[in-house]
Amino acid sequence: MTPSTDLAGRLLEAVARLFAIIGGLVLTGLTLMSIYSVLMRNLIGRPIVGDFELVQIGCAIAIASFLPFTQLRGANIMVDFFTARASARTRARLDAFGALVLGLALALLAWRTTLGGLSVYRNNETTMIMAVPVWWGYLFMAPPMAVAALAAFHAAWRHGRIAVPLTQPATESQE
Amino acid sequence: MSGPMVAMLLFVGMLLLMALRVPIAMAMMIPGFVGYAALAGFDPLLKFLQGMAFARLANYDLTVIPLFLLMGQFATQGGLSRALFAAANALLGHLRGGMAMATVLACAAFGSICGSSIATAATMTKVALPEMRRFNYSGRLATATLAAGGTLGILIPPSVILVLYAILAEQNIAKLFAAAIVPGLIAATGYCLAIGLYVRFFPEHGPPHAKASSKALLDATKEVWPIGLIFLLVFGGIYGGWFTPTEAAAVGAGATFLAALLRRELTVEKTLACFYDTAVTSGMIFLLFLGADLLNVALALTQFPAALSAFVDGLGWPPLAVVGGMLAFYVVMGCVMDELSMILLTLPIFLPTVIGLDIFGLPNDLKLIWFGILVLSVVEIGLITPPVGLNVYVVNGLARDVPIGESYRGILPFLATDVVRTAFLLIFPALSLWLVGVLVD
Repeated sequence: MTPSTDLAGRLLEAVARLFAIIGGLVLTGLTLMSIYSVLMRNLIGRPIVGDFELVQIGCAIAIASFLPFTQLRGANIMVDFFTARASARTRARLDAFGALVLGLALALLAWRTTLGGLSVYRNNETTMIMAVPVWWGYLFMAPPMAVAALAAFHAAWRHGRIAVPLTQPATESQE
Repeated sequence: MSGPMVAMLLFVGMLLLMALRVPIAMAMMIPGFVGYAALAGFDPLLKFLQGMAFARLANYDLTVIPLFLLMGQFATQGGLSRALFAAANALLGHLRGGMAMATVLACAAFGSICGSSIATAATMTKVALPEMRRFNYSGRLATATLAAGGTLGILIPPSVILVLYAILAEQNIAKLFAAAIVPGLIAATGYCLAIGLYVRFFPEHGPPHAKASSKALLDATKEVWPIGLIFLLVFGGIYGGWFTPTEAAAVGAGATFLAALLRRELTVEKTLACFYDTAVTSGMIFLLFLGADLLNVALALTQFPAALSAFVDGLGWPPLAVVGGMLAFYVVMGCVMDELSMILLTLPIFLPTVIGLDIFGLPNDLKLIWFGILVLSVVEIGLITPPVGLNVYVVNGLARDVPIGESYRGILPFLATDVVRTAFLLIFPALSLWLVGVLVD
């Protein structure tokens, strides 16, 4: 599908980009911290104790932040082997259904992760060594999941309305 | 209803959803939800989901994947692939079929800093295809070489598939990488042999051209030393005990970024493209990871993996035949399913069976490492096997004037070497495990 030009589509694109950038910054931060940690440990012999805890939480945040952008690019792979001969209209309807399912599942995950975050917050759970509050991870994971769900709902609506099916991502991704 | 019965229903549900073009991650996740709710109850499912996403994704080892993807992106956008091909071509191009062999060599070298086979195939195609065509290489040989060469991206570490295997099988990433090196080199050698034999019988497919002067060769080599340095830094660091694979990926991504900057090819726009591509691919991989994980949690509740293990045990087949059967299953599944989803889905089911087998008396960890390399090898076969063969599609999509049938015909000699190599890896575990002992223990 071509990028959406309606207001909701442009808004989602902007928010998804923002989250992707946040994820990218977190990942860059982890990279720099790991390099710093390696240098400190091997050159000066003074390791950063427990940096892997930050890497873990950062990893979860970065990955969740990438989900909306992945959905907007239509990059969640599917099997088009069985429907290759179906009409474009049928395929578009199936893709609308697929996007709807994806949106519902991600909405469920976003909702449960929010509740999980609240319970972790109430219990004051922290990591073992650095005592980083674990709810941070949850806090940054739930919103992008919710946005990814919205992006999927929007895609479902567009597939249904303009009747254009997804193209196989593998053939789409090379310019 | 018995456990295996429920498991079968979940599989049927999954296949049905897949056939209906539901994204694969969801085709696995939805039956996972249903199975969990049916076996443990709906409230326990909701409770489980509260911590599930964070618990699964906040994983130190998983961080390797986006970082290695980013490293591969920097290598791609930084033009390192072009430098590699130029150097390999200066070395081998004067032989008959030499430019194709140079492509394999360049793919292997690129694979040592890139963990994805599709990225390797696409990148090298942009560089090597126009050159091969300019020197009158046939579309058949050129596209087949690139599709096969691209698989060296995952065969030669770092490798995204191997990282996922390591996490699912709870094995050491460093050991798996060590185990993949010799088989990767065998693969590259096999491809060069296939090209050599092919042009012996059909010389018109890969004509030789003038030998590069030794000065040209030297100049071309000067361009590629950063890649060797990065490889040495990343893997020397891992095996020298200086850093963990996650830190190695961070160091590698940083070093590749520097190398690309120094080549003055990395614009702000290209750098952003690196990040966006990494984001899209990571998002895709990790949603699959979550989906497969949920389905496997539900399958574990049905006791299906244990039942399968007991069933296979009861058959009394020779262990190698069982493993061979699993590999054949992967080849067949690979015709309709993508490789990543396939191994994410099946490994938790197969691994208990593999652990239960007696393979030349190997201890469990070595057995799982050996099996991981076999899975990798078979996955790679799936990437170039008709009727799908993702790599062939990708390369052929970039070669507009070559019919897809030509590419498939050209791939056959490469496939033959793959099958032979996999058989050797199956029968001689030492090919994979020898270097593990040398580097890690």
